[in-house]
Amino acid sequence: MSRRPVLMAIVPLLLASIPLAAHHSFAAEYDREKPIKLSGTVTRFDLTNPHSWIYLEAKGPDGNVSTWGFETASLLALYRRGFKKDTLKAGMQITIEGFLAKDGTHTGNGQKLTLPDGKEIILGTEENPG
Amino acid sequence: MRHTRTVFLCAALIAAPVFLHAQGGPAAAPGAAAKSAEFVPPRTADGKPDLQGVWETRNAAAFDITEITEGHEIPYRPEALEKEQKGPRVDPIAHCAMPGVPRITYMPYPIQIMQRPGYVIFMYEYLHDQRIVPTNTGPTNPAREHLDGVDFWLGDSLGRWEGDTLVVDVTNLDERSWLDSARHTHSDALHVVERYSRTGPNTIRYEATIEDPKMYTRPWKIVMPLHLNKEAGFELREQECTEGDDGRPIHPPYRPAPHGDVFEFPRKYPSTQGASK
Amino acid sequence: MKYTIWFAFAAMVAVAQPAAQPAQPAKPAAPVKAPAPRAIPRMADGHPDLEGIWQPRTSGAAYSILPHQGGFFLGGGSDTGVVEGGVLPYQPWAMEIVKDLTQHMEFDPTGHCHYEGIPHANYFGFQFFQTPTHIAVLYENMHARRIIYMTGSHPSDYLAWMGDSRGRWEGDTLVVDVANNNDKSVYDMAGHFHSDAEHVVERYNMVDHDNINWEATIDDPKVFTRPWKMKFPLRRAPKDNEIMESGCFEGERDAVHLVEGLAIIPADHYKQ
Repeated sequence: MSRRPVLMAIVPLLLASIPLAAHHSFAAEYDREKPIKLSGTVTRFDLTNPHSWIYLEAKGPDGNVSTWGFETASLLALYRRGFKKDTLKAGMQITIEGFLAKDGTHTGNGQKLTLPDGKEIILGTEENPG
Repeated sequence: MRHTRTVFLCAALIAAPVFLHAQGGPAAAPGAAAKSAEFVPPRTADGKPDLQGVWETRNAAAFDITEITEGHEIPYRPEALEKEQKGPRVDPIAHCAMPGVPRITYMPYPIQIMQRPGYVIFMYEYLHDQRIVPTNTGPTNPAREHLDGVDFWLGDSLGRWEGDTLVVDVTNLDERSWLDSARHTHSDALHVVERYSRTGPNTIRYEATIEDPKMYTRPWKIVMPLHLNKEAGFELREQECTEGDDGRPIHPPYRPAPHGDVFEFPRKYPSTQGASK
Repeated sequence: MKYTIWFAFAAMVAVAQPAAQPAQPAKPAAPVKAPAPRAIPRMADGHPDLEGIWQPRTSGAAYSILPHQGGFFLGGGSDTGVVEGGVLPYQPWAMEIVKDLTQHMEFDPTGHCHYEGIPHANYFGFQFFQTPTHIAVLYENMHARRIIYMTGSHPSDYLAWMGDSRGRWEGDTLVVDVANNNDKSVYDMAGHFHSDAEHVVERYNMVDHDNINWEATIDDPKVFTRPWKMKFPLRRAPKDNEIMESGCFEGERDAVHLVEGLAIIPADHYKQ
C-alpha cells in the first residue's frame, strides 16, 4: 500500500496541557516565602526524570560562591518546551529565579531561567507553572 | 506433474518479492523469500507476521552479552576499553535504572508482544518497561524521524517491516546503560538495529546489530531465540524496583507475592492489613 | 522549534487558568467542544474502538480528589473535585490517618516514584491498545502499565500497586474490575489512602469519537463506610501526540529534602 510520505517532526505539544506528574508536593520541600535569584556559571545540567537539575556556581545571599542546585520540570516537560540535553552547557552564564529549599541546603526550585542572550524560559513544574 | 510443480515454484519465487513489496516493505531478496517459505508465520488481520504472545529468553546474555555475540568477542577500540575499565563499577540496574536496548530483551523476565495496525507494543515484565514502536517508519514511509537532543534509557525506536521481519531502529540511548552485568558499556553514539522474525511456531529469531563508532572498531551482532511461553493462563505480573533510602534496590517478590507487606516502606501509621471493620 | 516553544507557552498559560469544572450531572455530560461529534469508531467485533491517546480532565485530582483551593505548587484548584457528592466517607479511625498523612507529605509514595495505582494513574494521559482478549493501558507517568484482561479471573496469591484488571463489555461501555490492590497506592497528595481490600469498578463509556466518560465505583469496607464514586471525562489527545519514556528513579534526589507536609483539605468533606 503506497502512502504519500508525510514528514513530521515530533510535536512537543503532547500532553503539555495536562500536568504530567503530581510526583509530590513541592510545598513539602520548598518555601514560597523565600524567593531567590542567583546569577552564575553552569557546572552541570541533568535533563532527567522525575525532575531535571541545573547546577551552577554562584554567589549566594551570604556573599560566598558555592554550588547551587535548582530542580526544574521533568525531562519530558522541558523537552516539550524546546530544551535539549545540551541546551545548558558548563560555562554558560545564567540567572535562575526560584524558591529556596526548606532544609537549608543550597537547593532551590527553579521557576525562571535567563539565558546568556537574555532570553527567559519558564522552568516551573506543572504544579506551579509560574 | 514435475514440470507443473517447477513452473509453480518458479512463479512463486518470482511473485514472492512482488507480494512482499506490496505489503509495504522493500522488495525482499529471493533468498529471504525462500527462507520465509520454511515457516509461514501466522498473520494479523492487517497481513503482518504475527509476533504476538509471551516470549522468554533462555540464555545467560544478561550476565555476559558475548554469549550471544557473533565471534563471542566485542571489537572494542583500545582507548574505549581502557576508559571503560576505569569507569563506573556499579551496574545502573542496581539503582533501578532501565536496562537499555538490547539488554531489556534478554533480561530473564517474560515479554508480552502486542500488535496493532501501525504499532508493535513490547511489554516487558522487567521493571514494567514498555516500548511502543511505530511500524510505519523508515526510508520508504517516513512518518516520524528520530528525536533530536534527548536521550532515553530505552532509546527512541522506529519500526518498519522488511518482508516478514520487523526491523526496529533504535537511537537516542542513554549512555549510562550497560549491555550486561559484566560491565560491557557503550557511548551516546550507540545505534542498535533489531530484527525480529518468527522462525517457528514457538520461536522468534532476535538479531541486533550494535554500532557505536566511539566504542567499537566496527558494527557487531548478537543473535538469539525468544521462546514462546505456552503455559495455560500465564500472565505477566507487576515487577517493580524501588531504591530504598539506603541506596539498595528493593525488588518485591511477586510470583507469588506473600499476602502482606510486599516490601518495606517507611510509614508512621499502622498498616491497614488486618485492621478491623 | 520556534513554533513549538510558542505552543508550549500557550499550553502553559492554559494550565495557569483555574479549571472551571461544572458540577457533574447524573447523566454523562454532552460533548462541549466539537460542532459535530464524530461517530464512535468500532472494532471488527462491533465493540467501541478505544485505541488512541486520552487526556483526562481531572481538575487537579492529583493534588486532591476533593474540592480544594489552588495555590503555590497546587495548580488551579477545583470547586467540585472528582468525587461524586464531594464527600469521602472515611471511617473515624481512618480519618485520623488522613489528617496525619497531610502533615507528612514525605510519605507520599508518588514522591518516591512508586506506581500511582488505579484510579490515580488515570489522572494523566495514557494510550489504549485493544484486541478482543487484551486491552493494554500504557501510561506516560512512571512508564506505568496495566493489561485489562478480557478473559480469566483475578489471581488469588498476589497484590500489586496497579492491582489486577479484568474487563467486559456492557453494550458500549467497557467495565473494568480492579482487585488485588495493595494498600500502598494513594488517591492523591492530600492523604487519601485505602487498604488492600480496595475494589474498583471502572466504566469507560465512549460517547463519541473524541470523548469517553469515565467513572469508578470504589469500595473499601476496611476504610470507608460505604462505596463512593469518582468521575471525570477523557478527551482524545490531538494527533501527533506520543506517549514518551518517563522513568522515575534517576533524578530522585528530592526525598532527602522533604521536610514537612501541607494540609490541602481542612474542609468538611469527610461526612459519613
